[in-house]
Amino acid sequence: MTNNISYTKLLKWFLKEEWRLFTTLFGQIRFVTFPIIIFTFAIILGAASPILNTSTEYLLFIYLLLITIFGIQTGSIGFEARDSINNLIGETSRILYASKTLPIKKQQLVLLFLIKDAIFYSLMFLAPITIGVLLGLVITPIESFYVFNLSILIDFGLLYLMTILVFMFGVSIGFVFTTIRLERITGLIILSFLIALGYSLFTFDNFSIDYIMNISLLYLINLILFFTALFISFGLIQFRNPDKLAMKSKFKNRYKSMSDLISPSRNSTKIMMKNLIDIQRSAGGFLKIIFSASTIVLTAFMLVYFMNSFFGLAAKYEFIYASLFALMTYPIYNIMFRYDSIETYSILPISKLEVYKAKVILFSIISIPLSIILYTAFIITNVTIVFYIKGVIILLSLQYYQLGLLMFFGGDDPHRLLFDGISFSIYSIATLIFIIPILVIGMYGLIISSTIIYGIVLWGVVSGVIGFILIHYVLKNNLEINNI
Amino acid sequence: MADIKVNSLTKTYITGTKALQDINLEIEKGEFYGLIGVNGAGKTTLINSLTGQIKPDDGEIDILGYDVMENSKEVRADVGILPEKESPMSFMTPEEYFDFIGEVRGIEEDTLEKKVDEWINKLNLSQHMNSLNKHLSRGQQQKVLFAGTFLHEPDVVFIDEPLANLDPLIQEILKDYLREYNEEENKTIILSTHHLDVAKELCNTLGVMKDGELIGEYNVEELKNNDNIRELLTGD
Repeated sequence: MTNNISYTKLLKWFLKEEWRLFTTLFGQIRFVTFPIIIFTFAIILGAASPILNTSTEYLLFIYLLLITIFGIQTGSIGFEARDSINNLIGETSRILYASKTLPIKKQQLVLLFLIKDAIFYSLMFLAPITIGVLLGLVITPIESFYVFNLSILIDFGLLYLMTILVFMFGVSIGFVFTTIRLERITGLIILSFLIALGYSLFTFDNFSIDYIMNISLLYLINLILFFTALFISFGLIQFRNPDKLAMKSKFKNRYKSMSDLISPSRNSTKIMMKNLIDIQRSAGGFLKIIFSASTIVLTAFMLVYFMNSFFGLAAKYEFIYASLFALMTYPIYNIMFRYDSIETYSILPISKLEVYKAKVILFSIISIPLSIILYTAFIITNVTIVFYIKGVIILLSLQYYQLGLLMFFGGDDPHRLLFDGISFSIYSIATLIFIIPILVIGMYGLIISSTIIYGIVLWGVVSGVIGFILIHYVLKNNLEINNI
Repeated sequence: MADIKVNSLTKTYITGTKALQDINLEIEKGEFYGLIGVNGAGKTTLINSLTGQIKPDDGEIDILGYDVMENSKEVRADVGILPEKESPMSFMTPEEYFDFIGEVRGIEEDTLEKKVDEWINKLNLSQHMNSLNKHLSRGQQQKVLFAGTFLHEPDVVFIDEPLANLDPLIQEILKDYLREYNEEENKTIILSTHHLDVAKELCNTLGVMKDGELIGEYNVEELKNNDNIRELLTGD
């Protein structure tokens, strides 16, 4: 039997499936609200961007960079392993897997899947973003370099096309990272190369394309070797398949060794160990945590770099990085629930409360040290011990605030926050209320009075207190497992 | 004394489907009770409600002296549950899955080891003990789930389509085990299935469900010679 189905028909089915997937997950109204909210945010962003008072090229660069990162995140989610999708919406069979049972080539399906992503996201998300940003630039009350004329249609067309292209570039990168097995040598080389390249750019003062062309090959190789050794020594990469890994390091042994440190009788400790095993043995292992965090780190670094270039900031970098690195909470929280469905425990004497407690412990073990290490690495050269501690206080407070928000709004299904318009906007506003003031004070910290500095640290602490209240609330209201 | 008492139980899903309508039920200790009915009759919803996995809208459930609405964790500690649509934890091996259950249920290490060995032999699982559960076939996963349900020797067991995906030989082995567990150890078993022959073969009492209602309860002996399945399942 030959493959008779046309590309167009198959693409239509892909698009229908994507629509139904999202509307099933979030409900039609909530999902349709999402582009409207993105559009609103984009108008505000566009209208506010003349404040930066810089050239269009730089603004465009930042804009496209953010879209690329959005693409990377989307690519990672779209191509996630079947297990994680099943955890999210139950036992599923998607058209992407149809080559297993039907006479359709896998390559054809993957190609159409990418085209479907391009079309679907272009219409649902990228169009509202592009139109919103441009409209914001046109209607901004701030004195702007942008003058409305007929060429706006051409500008829009070009910008939209560029947006789609860089988004798809990001999706492809996300795809590569979630499908290559990072425990294999090819994945390791690609990852080490990218990190080495990123690091060499970061350590160079004058970021430019020319510099990339002139990086010493020997320097790059040394860096690749360094990062490879680092990952292996920390056990982030294992050259074993998950079955062999399971034989080497069993739940019982791990649990026994961990129970010496943490209260062994509690179910939350057992669930936490189980969840740690899930993360390690699923595609990408622990390295996917680093990968998820790296998109936030990259965004933070680029934003700081460019803002510094434009304004010559009198910045307190510890505040800037503390506020931005707190955003790592979302991808890490997402990973914690991606492979560990609460329903799994419904047949055991385990309450939802214990599952959530396990997540709070796991979050504290993974996210807090990782963010503090990265924060320290970024600011260590230009900070006093007092300001370092102030930054740590802000970072910890904001992270637990984020955790509280995610537990409250996302529950055990944090994907909901990505595409449920109403939850997304509440979550975003609640996040920005605390992060923006700290970020702004961070940008001009050197010329701001110490009273305001103390005030902003206190503002961070307030977020932490609210976070703990939210965590407590969620724990108190989830004493039992009730799936429906 | 009844192990299970259900009073005026109702559940309507958000879609408007009336999954359970005024269910009243009493299951005595040592009874092998079969819930039968066509697909969508409400069998799984009833089992999920009885085990505290979902919250009914109204009614009372008493399992082993516990009010399920108030003490669902305690109920799950004392009973065994084999759900229809579930797999053992994907990224654990069967060995680890049993260890995890042992830890959560507080089973002594020696007892657990002995029990697991028995199940490995009974279900021929030895070759698969170190593979991740996600790499096992559906049938092997079902064996692992089945064994996990009985490790703590619960007084009451809820099993939903327990023989699904299993080969005929294993089905016979498990049927023998269930009979033995019920008769010799006087344990209560609630079996949900749409296979009438299996229910007739194993159970003492059958409860027939249709459109969320319990439309009849029969002693299996009465039904031994009644082959009119349509009449039995539809109540017509």
